[in-house]
Amino acid sequence: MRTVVAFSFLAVLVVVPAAPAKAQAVDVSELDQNPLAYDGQIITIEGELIGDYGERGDEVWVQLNDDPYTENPIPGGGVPAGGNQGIGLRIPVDIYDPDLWGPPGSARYRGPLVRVVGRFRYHAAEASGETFVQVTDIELLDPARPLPTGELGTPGRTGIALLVLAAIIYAAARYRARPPRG
Amino acid sequence: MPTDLHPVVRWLRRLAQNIAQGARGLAIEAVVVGVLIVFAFLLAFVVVALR
Amino acid sequence: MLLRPSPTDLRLIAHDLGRILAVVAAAGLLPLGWAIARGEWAAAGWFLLMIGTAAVPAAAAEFLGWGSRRQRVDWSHGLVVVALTWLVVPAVGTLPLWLSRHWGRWLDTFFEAMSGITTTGLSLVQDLDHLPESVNLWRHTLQFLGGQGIVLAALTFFSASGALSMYQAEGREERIFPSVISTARFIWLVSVIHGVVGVTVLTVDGILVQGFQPVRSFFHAINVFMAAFDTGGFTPQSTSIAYYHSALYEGVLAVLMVAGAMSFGLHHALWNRRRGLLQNLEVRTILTTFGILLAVTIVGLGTSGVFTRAAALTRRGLFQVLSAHTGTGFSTVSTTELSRWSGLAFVGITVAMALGGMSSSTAGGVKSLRIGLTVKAMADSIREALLPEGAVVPDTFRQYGTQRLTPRMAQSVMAVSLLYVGLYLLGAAVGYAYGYPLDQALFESVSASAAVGLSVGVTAPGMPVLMELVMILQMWIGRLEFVAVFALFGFLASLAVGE
Repeated sequence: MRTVVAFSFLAVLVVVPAAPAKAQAVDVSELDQNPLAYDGQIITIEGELIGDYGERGDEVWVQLNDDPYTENPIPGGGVPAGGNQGIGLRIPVDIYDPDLWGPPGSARYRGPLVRVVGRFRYHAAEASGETFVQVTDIELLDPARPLPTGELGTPGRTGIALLVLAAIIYAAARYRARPPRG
Repeated sequence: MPTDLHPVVRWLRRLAQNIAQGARGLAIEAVVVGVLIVFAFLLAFVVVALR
Repeated sequence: MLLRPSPTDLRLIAHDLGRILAVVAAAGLLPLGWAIARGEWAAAGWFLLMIGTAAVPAAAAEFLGWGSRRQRVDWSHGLVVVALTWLVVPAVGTLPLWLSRHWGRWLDTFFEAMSGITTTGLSLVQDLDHLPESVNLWRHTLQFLGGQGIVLAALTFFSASGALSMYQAEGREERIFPSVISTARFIWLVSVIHGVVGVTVLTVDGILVQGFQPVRSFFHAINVFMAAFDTGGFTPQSTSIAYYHSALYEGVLAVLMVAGAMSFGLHHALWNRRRGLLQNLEVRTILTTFGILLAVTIVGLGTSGVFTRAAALTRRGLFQVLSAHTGTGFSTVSTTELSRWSGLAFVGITVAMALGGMSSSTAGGVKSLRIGLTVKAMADSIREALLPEGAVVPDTFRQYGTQRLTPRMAQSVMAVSLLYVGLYLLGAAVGYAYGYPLDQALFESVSASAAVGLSVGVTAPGMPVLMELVMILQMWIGRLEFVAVFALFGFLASLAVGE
């Protein structure tokens, strides 16, 4: 019974068209600070899709970050500017397009930048207390782009030299400790 | 344990015994968590109902 | 009069530290392999540098042969090695963290590595969500190293003193070696079995339920397994366990956290079908404190009005209390939200962190056996005062058989408990002096000293340097349960002023 209620609730959320005129533009920090004020409201939020696309049947769970690193991730030359700020999104599969968006953000990719419209849910009773944005509309602002993975470089070459040195010292130790002949 | 078995067979038997013992430990740990969930849920149910 | 350590003593210590660095070098192969497999070439270079840096002194220690004239393991020498290990390993472990540029200053990387090796889980990483996977794996490997190693150290050096006399049954009063090796084997066996089962279940759950790609699912599984079983609390993504949005995943982690907070003595008893475990003082104590603190937190959260359904309240409340009491530090709510848990919920979580798990586990805090013995000692003296003169109050308790609570044991137990309270207050005072609200300063101080890792936001990049140093000290001292650190201080004093 509860499942039926939950699904019909979701169905209503998915079917009801997004109302951009009423949607308030917020950021993750604001949602984190005043969750009760936005619970159940239609919001607009921009940021980078990050981590993994969790493909669960008819919807996809993914995290959206809107911190300074969405423009300048540290592996891409950005500088440390505090922790990450993110929130979970639930995206219906019919508006999910990974081929167009590219991979989610990681050390190898700056993830796709998107603007989403959806209903914010705080400790949603129908989802055993999950906090997320139930997305109704998603717009791609900038697809994912690869980040440099670098090369072994000076640290790597120094490390190899040290390892060779360690091997020589160790071999010498074994040679010295060998049992006397005869 | 018979000693005429091949060492690999003996090793595998010991491994199987260990896994069986470990499974018993894991099962008890899972039961503890299960009991905690039931206890917490009953408490939460009462608290939410009384509020 | 203090005796100045001889050059042989110093050589022995250097030799042992060399051996430990060899272990660090070997552990570094795991993230190095991952970096190569996933094409993270720059990160592979950082790990090569770290492995090389650890390997040279390790090889030099072998070459010099300083350990060969060892006759028997000296008690205080062992303690000094343990205390130094917990400084040297994080120092070497900072190399890849620092080179990744994801930390603001070098001290932050040392904080991170110390938090890792002490299985605390407080973190100063920035842009974690873009951190190379191999560096992320190294953070979690540090937790595994610390968790597995501290148990060995605890069994080797601490178990025969103070309250933990139960392990003396294994005949480890002077010659510790034969039984320690078999104990170590058992610890690794328990860990490997939990690891194989835990990583498999989490990986399959990640693929089938969460819809992750197989490689990524395995990556998440191995990291959170190491952090859960060793009650560490680091997570691969910035939103901790809330990232997974899965009750099943949280359930599996709950089982692993419980397993991590259990003493290896209890694991052994469970595996060998020993009966009457519920009569053990430590088991009774932890079940009692857990039940009470869970009730306190759930009543506190339930009356705050945030949760309107029992299922949601159970899931969030239980997970945070479990994470706090086992000393793990995972969370499924944001730092901001946790900082808003006031009243009873705050009390429940903070006290749970302060008490900690079982002795000889990877959990920190005062620990259940000490709590149980302290309560017993106090109850006994009250009973003695109330009963007529000459009445005998039994001073025995059950802990794998009947044991006597001697006045000396009671004294040592209470002294260590008091030292923990002092350590909690020290950090709270420093935080308060820096202008943080008292409740937040206390929460973070307890979290660091008891090796938990839950945070209400005080631990953040750019925090005052002195406070960061104090928290590093708290993690180090709290994890080693004071004794080894005192031995190190004594050793340093004897170096300086001994004759």
